[in-house]
Amino acid sequence: MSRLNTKLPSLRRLTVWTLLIATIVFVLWCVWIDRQIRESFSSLQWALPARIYARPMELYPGAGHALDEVQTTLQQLGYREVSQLGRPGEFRRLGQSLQIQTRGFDFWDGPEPPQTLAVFFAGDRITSLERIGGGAVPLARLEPVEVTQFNPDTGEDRLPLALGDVPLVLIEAVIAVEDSRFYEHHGVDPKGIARAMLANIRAGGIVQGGSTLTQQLVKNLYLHRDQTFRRKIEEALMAVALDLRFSKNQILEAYLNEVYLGQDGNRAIHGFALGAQHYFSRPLTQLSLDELALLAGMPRGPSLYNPRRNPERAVSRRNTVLARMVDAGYITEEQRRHASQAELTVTPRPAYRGNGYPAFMELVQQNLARDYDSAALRTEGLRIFTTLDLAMQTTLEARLDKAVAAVQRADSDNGPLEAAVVITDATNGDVRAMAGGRRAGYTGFNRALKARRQIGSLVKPATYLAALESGAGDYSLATVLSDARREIELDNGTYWSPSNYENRYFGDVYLFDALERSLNQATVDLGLKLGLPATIDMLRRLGYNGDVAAYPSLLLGAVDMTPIEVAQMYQTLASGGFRTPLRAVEAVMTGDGQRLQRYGLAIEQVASQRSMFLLEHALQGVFSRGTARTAQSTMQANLPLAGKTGTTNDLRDSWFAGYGDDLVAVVWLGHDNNGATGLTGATGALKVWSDIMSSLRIEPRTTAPPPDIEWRQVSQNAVRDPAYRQCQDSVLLPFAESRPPDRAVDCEDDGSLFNRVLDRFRVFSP
Amino acid sequence: MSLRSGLLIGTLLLAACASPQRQSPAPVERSQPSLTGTSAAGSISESPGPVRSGDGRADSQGGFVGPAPPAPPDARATPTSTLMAGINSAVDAGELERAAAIAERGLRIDPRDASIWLSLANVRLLQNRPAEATALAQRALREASNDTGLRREIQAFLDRVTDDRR
Repeated sequence: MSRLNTKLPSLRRLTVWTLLIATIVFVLWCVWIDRQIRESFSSLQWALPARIYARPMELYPGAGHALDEVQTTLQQLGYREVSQLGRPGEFRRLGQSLQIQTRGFDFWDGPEPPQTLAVFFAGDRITSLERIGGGAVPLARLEPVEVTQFNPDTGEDRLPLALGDVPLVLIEAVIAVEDSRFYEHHGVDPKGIARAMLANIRAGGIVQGGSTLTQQLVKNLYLHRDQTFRRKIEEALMAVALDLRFSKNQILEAYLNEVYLGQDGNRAIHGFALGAQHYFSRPLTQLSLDELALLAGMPRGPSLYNPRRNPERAVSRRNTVLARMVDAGYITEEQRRHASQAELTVTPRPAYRGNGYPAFMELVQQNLARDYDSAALRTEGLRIFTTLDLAMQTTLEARLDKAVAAVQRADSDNGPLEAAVVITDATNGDVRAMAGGRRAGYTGFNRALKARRQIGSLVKPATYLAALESGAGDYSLATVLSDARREIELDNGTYWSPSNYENRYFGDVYLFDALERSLNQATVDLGLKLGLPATIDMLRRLGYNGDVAAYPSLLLGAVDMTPIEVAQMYQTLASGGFRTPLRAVEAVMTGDGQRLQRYGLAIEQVASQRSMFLLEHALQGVFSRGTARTAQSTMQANLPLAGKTGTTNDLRDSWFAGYGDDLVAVVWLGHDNNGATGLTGATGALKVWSDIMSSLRIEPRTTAPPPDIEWRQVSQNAVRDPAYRQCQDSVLLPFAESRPPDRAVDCEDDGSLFNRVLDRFRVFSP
Repeated sequence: MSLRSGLLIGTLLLAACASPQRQSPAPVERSQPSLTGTSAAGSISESPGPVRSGDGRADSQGGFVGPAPPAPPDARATPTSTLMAGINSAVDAGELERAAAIAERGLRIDPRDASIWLSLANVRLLQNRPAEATALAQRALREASNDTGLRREIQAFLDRVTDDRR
């Protein structure tokens, strides 16, 4: 009895203690959860991918775009072809014209307004541009195509939107279908749960969830997907805490931005704003009731109700949403009937993303690395405006592999012939297209940026330009050089004896001719007279910053460069002696449209316009008379062009670098194991270059002569004594006024009758 | 004793409850606030990434400065004349880097237009970057070979830059 008496109170005490402890633990848990929710939700920020844009298409009378090209761009932008324009993001084709209702875009240099345009074409050009119902438009530009993203580790993509920017209809639709008592409950909705349980019991399975929007948000943000009892309790507590601490509007806004709506490759589509872009290629604010209802129905089963894959289920779900909206009094029965009958207007496929352009994007990352760390690039939602020319890149990718296959030697046993191509804008150094390998769309070793190879004769223009720029020696295109075999003693006592291609030597030759035909001995003759530092200095001025070994073999290209470094050098030549750093990124904005940074055009004059004009005359001669004359038939429509072939020892590397008025392109061919290709610059890279550049319709090179240039007739043969000159079949060359041709070759110099008679006489004598 | 053990259990429980929260992938990294309503129109100092100090005049105030004035519906307006008007109004508004961006847009459309090169040179001069201004004016000269009037104007600009630098 006494034992029982003592035991009873102790049992009661234990119970009391247990309850007390449980209560304390529970309260502490609640406090803990409350603190967690307060801290994390108030600092809630989405990790947003950087969006990478190609350069936008400009529309103006005279622009070189064919109708199909513009139409392709519109499709890449997710425009819908319709028979009657009604909304932004639609276009209509009418014979040789396009009607386009643009969406507008905030560019770095200012906003482009949305407008309705009629664009007329003739052949490959736009002939006129009008605002429908408004008269001529001098200039318009389409939105830039978003070609890829730098994604956060979560793989999530979204376009966060403030609640005020969300259409009310969408909010009503979401509330009607997901949580009709959203504004009444306190985070959890016992009535809703009871109703759901009842419905589930009746149906004999789970047909209805009792989760509020708040609970769903908590689950998505903070909890794993598994549904244990403790997790449900935790979810409910967090929902209550969230509801207690934050306004309904804050919760709703977070929900609308967080919700998962589908998958696009490895990119998860979150939030209704991005959902609208993904499924309809239009901003949320431009969607109609039926479209908004469709989106509102998707969170329940993003793949089940995917309108592209399961259009019937999607429509039926949409109509359920519409019915709930009527029940809740948000829309009228009439509106419901109308919207329920609407056809699905989903765009046929996700907005164009191509292959992500891995080679070009590597350059973009390289350009940005100076100013942005990689975490910032993947999470801060930056808008990055690149110089990528989508049409050009597409052409390059379409042609490169076949063009390389066409030149590859069948007897080569060094594996597949590889390639790298860099195409830049001749004016501003914008990198417009790039291939890091022969199959351009594939991620892999990026030869354009990383394959460092000897450049062979591509180095020669540096020596020739150094001569034309040099204050001493009176160099001109008609300077006579010696193209004869020689041995050169090096500093270490050994000898270097370079040879000409095919071991042919031409004796005395003109400077321009030596460059056009890429004669090695004549170049060595010139380079050694000038001194190696002159060539090295010119390489620096042209924009090459890497290592150079000061051996005479440098004159024949014993310097290693990557294709993009070569492109930089030839860019300086193409822009008329103005060094212009290559760039792949033009500007960066924040996700909400603030201007962050711009990488502006910066040029520096490194050679006189006179010398550049003379050099260019010889580089054009490469096509008309020199090592690239084999390309004449392919490039017929594009000549004159300027360029240079490059071949390295044992035919390991085949190079061609060339430019017209608009573009500069460098092509490298070789093997990754540095084995022989069996190709010279002319039999390999030049052919690939011509194939691509003729498809791109490269513009002829037509530089107007600067004022201090005069044209003079010189002897056909390069001679050092006027007694041997031949003027009956002279050559017309440009000269600097201050540096006329040497008397020995000048056919216009001594107009004395005696000499002219003598010249005549020479012609007839054997 | 039992109170202490109770507290211990409580603490352990708390830790247990807390742990999944720490493990759960943080949905957040550094970024803009999603609740744009609460911190609307963050000034540029709050925005991510480095802010270019640059010339410090045109853009560091941040924010988009209103839509560009709509081009007058002039049937004779050309792309170049439209953009030149844009450059001028950006210069007038003190938005020099935006003016440079518009000039570069013009050069993409017509790289042979010496007057656009000269405008860009002028913008760089206003930004106190005389070396760049000189190079750009030299480039303008290259494109103006047939236009003596414009050549004279460019030459005058070059002389002015040289005088300023002295």
